[in-house]
Order: sequence, then structure tokens, then C-alpha cells
Amino acid sequence: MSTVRRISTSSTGATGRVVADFFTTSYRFSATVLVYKRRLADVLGDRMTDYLDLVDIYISRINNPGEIVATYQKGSLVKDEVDFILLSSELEGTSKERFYVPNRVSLPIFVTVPSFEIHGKFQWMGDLEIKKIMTTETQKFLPILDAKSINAHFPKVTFEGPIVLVNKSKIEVICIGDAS
Amino acid sequence: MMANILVVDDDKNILRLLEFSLKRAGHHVIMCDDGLQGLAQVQAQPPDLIVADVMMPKMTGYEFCKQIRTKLGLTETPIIMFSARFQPIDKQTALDAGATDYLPKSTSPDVLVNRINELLPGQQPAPVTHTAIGLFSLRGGTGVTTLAVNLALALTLTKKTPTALVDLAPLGGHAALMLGLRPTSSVADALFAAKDEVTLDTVKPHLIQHSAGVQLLASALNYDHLLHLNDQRLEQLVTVLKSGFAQTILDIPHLLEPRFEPTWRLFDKIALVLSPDMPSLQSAAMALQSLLRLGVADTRIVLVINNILPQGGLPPEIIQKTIKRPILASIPYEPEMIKAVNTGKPLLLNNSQSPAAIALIKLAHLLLG
Repeated sequence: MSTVRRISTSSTGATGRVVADFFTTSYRFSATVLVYKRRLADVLGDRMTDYLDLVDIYISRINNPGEIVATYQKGSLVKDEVDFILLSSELEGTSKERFYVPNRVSLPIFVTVPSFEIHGKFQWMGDLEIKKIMTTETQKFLPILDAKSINAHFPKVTFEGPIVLVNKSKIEVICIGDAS
Repeated sequence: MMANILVVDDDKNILRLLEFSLKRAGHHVIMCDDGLQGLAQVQAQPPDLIVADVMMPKMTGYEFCKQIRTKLGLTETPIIMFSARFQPIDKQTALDAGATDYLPKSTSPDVLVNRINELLPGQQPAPVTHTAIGLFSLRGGTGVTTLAVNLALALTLTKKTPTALVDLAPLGGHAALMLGLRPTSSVADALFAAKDEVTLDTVKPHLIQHSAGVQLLASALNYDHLLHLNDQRLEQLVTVLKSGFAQTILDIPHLLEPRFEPTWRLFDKIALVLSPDMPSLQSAAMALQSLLRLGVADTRIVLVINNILPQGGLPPEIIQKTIKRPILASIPYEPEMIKAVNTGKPLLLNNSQSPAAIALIKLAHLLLG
């Protein structure tokens, strides 16, 4: 089987770093997270710390997310303040430490967080009760695949990616199934 | 042609990888790990082309690019920006800053090197050859439409020239669905609007643009707009599309209509698609015999195996021996293909590193000779 190398991916590999876009109500932070030998999903789910260690932080305001208004070499991000995280690889959004059940079904999902509406696909197995997603899953962040997020105040500001991790504590409404 | 390429990036691993790839392509590489060093280098020795990261310390790639264009007055030097920020707004910001092109860091080094070679001053664009490729199987369910859609994308993305995709299913073809498009017009509508003379101008309003660059002429949407394969204007349509597009891919339905005969001969290549099972093999043998009988040149017909099941298929040697013809390509089974079909996000765009996507890109090159 032939393989194609990429210039870079968000996969940690030997570097222990993941590049991701972090969104809050007002800002986009493009930064590198130090995850060491873990995956980002596991670092986010680690309840021993409320912070993420970031390096090479590039800050943009949400109304003009292409423009970089400030850069810093080091910083800490408060996990609870993140609305969602956009990744370029599905891998980093899945846990290495938790058991995954195969044969999950993929369901359309729509959520809102402050300033953003996000839709995509959500994977689930068994009988679906929406509140179960929020209560029985122990992870703090909900993975949404093939995701598109639209800013409610500036609808031209959109972000798309193979996976976003949405902070469950920031979710205002969650809807499963196609829009009617 | 050897060129001086300046690469500016703070990631040493990326610098090493690009140095290796560019040197292998015959270029001389100068490396800087921030924008300030990059500007000094450009002043000391203007390069033929610049590759710059966006997220760098001291100076962002956007600022670096603006300074090259304004303060240093190097308006014509191609600048490729590449970054882990992969949103359309990021590309637009780079282009606004003066970049010539913008690639995400998920791009393979080979694609970057190809783009560099295209943008280098003095490089003539490769001569455009106009090719029509038909994909056909007498047996349904062999994945002809899936291959046609992905092949059209592979040609558009690798050749960077326009590709037309025509879904010739008389009614309810699935190319639009697989591309996530909602057609408002069809092949039959294009022929109806053209009346007696099909021209590029009469066809253009019926083409549906996909964001990746493929232009689709969709299958009929309802019975009132049914496409008749015995419509002699189909011959004109293929000729017109060949004149307007570097590549035209035609997804041909599973039947041999006698009055479609002259159109067969317009194809530069006919990919006879089969799945590795006995019914498909039998249909392929019959299709091959029929096409030759219709006067299609032997050299224009190629065999493509599409492995639609994970295992249990006939071995390629048996297929080759039975059909007495070499297999041009065998597309491996891809479990993600069904997801791609269901979501309208083709494999070539969503999972371009998968073995099946790589095989499709290779097939695209082989079909263009």
C-alpha cells in the first residue's frame, strides 16, 4: 500500500503537540496544545486540571477571524471558557483512554453555544435519549463530525472541519435528526 | 528548471521535510525560521519563489507577505503561504496580503512541489489536451457513478484544469447526489434548449458548478425530462464538451443503445468497469465484444476493477485470463465509500489519503496517458 506524507498534521506523533482552533464567544485562538503522549480529547477530559497549556498562540477577533491581532509564545486556556474546538484530524478528537463501542450510528446533530450554531454528525449506539448524551457520557466535550459552525452575530463567519469538540457546559440547545 | 526557493517557517521538522522534497525536485533551497530573517534574505538575494508559514514568531506570514509586496517592491515573485489554519477566510486573508496561493499544511509535499513548479517564473503551462473518458459497465452495481465522480475530481484537482462530468442515466442518476449538489437542470434540458445545434453556449447554463471545480451535467430529474440515449445530439454534446473542457467524464448507463454508436467512437478512452464477480465478468466480456463490434478502437478500451466488497472477489489473474486483456487499475475496497456517498462528500475530497483515493488519482493519470 502506498502512503502519502503530509507536510504536517494535527496528529501528535513523536512531537506531543496538536495544532487546533479554539473558539470562545469573542475570539479564535489558533494554538498548539502540548498533549505529550495523550490525545487532545483525553487532555480535555482530564479533570485534574482546568487549564490547557498552549504554545504559539495566534489570536483573532471573531468578527474578523482571518486577521491575527496578537501572538504569544506561551499561555493557558481555561477549559470551561472554550465554546468549541476545531481540529483538522478526527483522530485527536477521539479518546485513546476510553473504550469505544463499534457499530455506532451517525445522526445529524445541531447545537448552539454562545454566539455559534453548529451542525454536523454525531455517533451514538443504542436507544437515543438526547439528555443521555449530556449526562451519561463522562467526557466534557462532545465530538461532532463533518461539522460546520456559523456565528450568530456575523453569519458570514463560518468554520468547517472534520471534527469539532463542543464544550457540553456551553451547549444551550441540542437537537438530533434532520431539521424539519 | 532549477530555481532558488526561500522557505520561511519556524517548525524545524517542516523545514527539513520541505528542504528534502524541494532538493529532490532539483531546486536550491534557502531556509529561514522567522519572517524577519526571511525579509533580510529576500533583500540580500531575491528568490524565484517564496514558501511561507502563517503562524510564525516575531512576524506573521501575512505581515511578511505584505512587506515583500510593498516595502521590497517584489510584486511578481510568487508567494505560497501554507498553514495549519485551514479555513476559507484564512486563504482569503493570505491572498489579500499578497500571496499567490495558499495551501493547508495537510497538503502532501508532492502537491506543494507541483504547485511550486507551476508558479515558477518562465514555466509554460502544460499544453491542454482535450480528452473524453467514458465509464461503462453492462452490469449495474459495479460503482460506475462513484468512480466517475471521484475520477472527475481527481482530474480537476491534479491537472488543475476544468473537468466536465456528464451523468447520462436516462432518469435519476446519482452523480449530483454524490457531489452533494441539487441540480436544477439536466442533460435532457440542455439538449432540449439547444434545439438543433448544441453549442458550448447552449450547454453552459445547464452545468452545475461543484466547489472543487467539476462542472456537472446532471441526469434527468423527472420522467417528463427523460434523456433518450438515441438522441443524435448526444454526439454533438460530447464534441462540444471536448472543445470546452480539458477533460470530460461521462457516466454511461448500463445498456447498449444502437443509435448511441457514433458517440462511443468520440471517447478517447472507455473504462470498462467490473466488480470481481462472475456476473460482472460475464457482462464485461460481452460489453467488450460489443464495443469492438461497434467500431471502437481496441486500444481505447481499458479494464478497471472496482472492489465493491471487502473480500471474496475473483483474483485479478482469473479476470485477466478470462477476458484476455490486462487490467489497467484495481480500486481497493474502501469502507468509507458508503459514508462518502451518503453524505454527498466524495472520497477524493474527504479522505484523499485513503488507498482507494490514491488508486483513483493514479487511474486518472493513467487514463490521460
